[in-house]
Amino acid sequence: MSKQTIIPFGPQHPVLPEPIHLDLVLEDEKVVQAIPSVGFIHRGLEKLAEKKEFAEMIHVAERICGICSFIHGMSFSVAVEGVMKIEVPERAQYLRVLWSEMSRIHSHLLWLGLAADAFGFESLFMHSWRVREKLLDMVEATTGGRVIFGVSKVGGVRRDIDTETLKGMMGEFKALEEQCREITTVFEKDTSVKRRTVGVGMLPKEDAYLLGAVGPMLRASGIASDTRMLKYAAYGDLDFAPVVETGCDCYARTMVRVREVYQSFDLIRQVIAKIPMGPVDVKVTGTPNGEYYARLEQPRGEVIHYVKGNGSKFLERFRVRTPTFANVPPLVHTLAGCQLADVPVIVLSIDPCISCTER
Amino acid sequence: MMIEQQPLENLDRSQLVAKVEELKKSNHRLIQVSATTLAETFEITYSFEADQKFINLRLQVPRTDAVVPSITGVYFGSFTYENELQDLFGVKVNGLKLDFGGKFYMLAKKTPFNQTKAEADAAAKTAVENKPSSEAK
Amino acid sequence: MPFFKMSKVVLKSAVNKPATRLYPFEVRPDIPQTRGRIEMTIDNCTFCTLCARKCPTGAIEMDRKSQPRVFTLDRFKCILCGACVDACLTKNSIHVDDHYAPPTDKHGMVTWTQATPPPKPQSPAAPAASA
Repeated sequence: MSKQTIIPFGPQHPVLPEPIHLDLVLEDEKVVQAIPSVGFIHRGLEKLAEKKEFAEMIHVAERICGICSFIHGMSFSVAVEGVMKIEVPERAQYLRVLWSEMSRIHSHLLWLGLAADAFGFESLFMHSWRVREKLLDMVEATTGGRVIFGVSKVGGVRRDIDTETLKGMMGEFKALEEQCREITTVFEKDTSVKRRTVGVGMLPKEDAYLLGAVGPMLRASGIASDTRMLKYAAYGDLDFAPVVETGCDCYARTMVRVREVYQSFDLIRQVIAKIPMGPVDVKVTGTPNGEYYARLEQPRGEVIHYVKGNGSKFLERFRVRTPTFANVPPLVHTLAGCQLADVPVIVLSIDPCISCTER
Repeated sequence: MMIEQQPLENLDRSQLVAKVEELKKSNHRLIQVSATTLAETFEITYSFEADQKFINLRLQVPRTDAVVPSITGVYFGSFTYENELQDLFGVKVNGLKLDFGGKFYMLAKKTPFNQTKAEADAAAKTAVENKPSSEAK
Repeated sequence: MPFFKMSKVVLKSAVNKPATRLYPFEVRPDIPQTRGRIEMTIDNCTFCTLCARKCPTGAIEMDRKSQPRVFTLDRFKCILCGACVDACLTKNSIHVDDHYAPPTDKHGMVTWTQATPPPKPQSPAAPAASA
């Protein structure tokens, strides 16, 4: 039996967007076991529900994470609306879907840039983020903020987009889609990308299901599970199917995210074509009493916001189960048996959003 | 807007592992394990899903005798949730396959969630009263 | 074997002008309706303090007792949520401006002092009801 060494990976590492610590037990360049350790960004946001009224908690919920911020705000609103049985107007549902899909595209473009950086392809990283800047300008024009959108509230949305702006956005999305095609062709076809990602980090189908993987990790292993099929918000009126790949490796996960970008562009086109006129919010009276689990699809997987109210202005329990938290056991499983040089690529392929994981 | 039906089943902690094994055989996947601190008990909820149908199992565990059996034998992926229960709530989980022993989260204050809002408000009030007046505010 | 798939993108960016802006020679134009900073029209404010109560971070402090009355905003605490704007009763004392300028004070405090209070509304039935 050869000697085992332990190398710490993280919390500071050039490849990681956020700090996570893994102790890698190595035997001569092959990883035998990986032991995760979290807690670097634990801010105790769930406990803050005792101090902030439920209508103000939306600001805290949005700031759980910077990359997936809009969908956290929307999930919190959906959860409280589920408890209080509030009917949100149609136009607000469509606007929420529009902003969710824009948030998904920007998150996937950010991830594509980071993945390119993980295997050393810096110019592809810069170009992905250049394309993302144009999208962020559009987000700022419609919501007022680039990172934290600030448009969700319990009962609807806070801003409206008028019809002319929506028509202008269609043209801009078309131009954006063509720019995206140039970048994603490289991810799909270039040999150096394939050599770093094909066959790396295999997660077989059965293991993915039983370990509780969510999001692109699950869909890249051949299981067609997408929380948007639950038809919350306006997804019941839109026409789409989950993006599934059968490769089970990092290349399959990259392809799932690339194809989801184009799926989101298609969903946005459908939303802009079908959006009805009407009010964008509804007045909220009373306090929440009861509990509800809101399940939504973030760019990284399935997020659950659990809200329990007991009749007072303060929520009794606010609990967030984020997709990266559910993807940590599959990560530990795929790291066993890989080479040391593949560890950054595998860690990035789950799309780690550690500030979500540790709230 | 669609509000999902979310059926809930209340169980005793001795029935937990058997019921979870039954769910695994009928192809459910584990979604999450969470806990709430109530006045007398911890309310621990296990959520599962199959084919977009969501079901919950709920245990009420007294706060003075907070021990639950582990389900890592059935679903290995639950080790993160059970370590979180140990670190944040102080619930002891028996039979954990990958046990961090309270060190999964690096916290300054041990088991911070082990207080209800009423207890936290009362503790904050006595802390302000006991501070010398020059330090308060 | 497809090598150098990036060549098309790289050549395009080598030939075109840079994608980055040459700040400070070229300043980014303000996008309308963005959330830049909070701005006050202090002479319309009746100092009802509803905005201070609704502020989720407690960034607003209003001093009604002093002469003249003073409104203080802590820009480092302000998250630009707009709850104060929604809560304002007069509807034209406070608004979100779309130009962002960094805070000039070391502690991020901005104050507005009310030189002339707004005229009291003429109501026939009310006795001397102060604000």
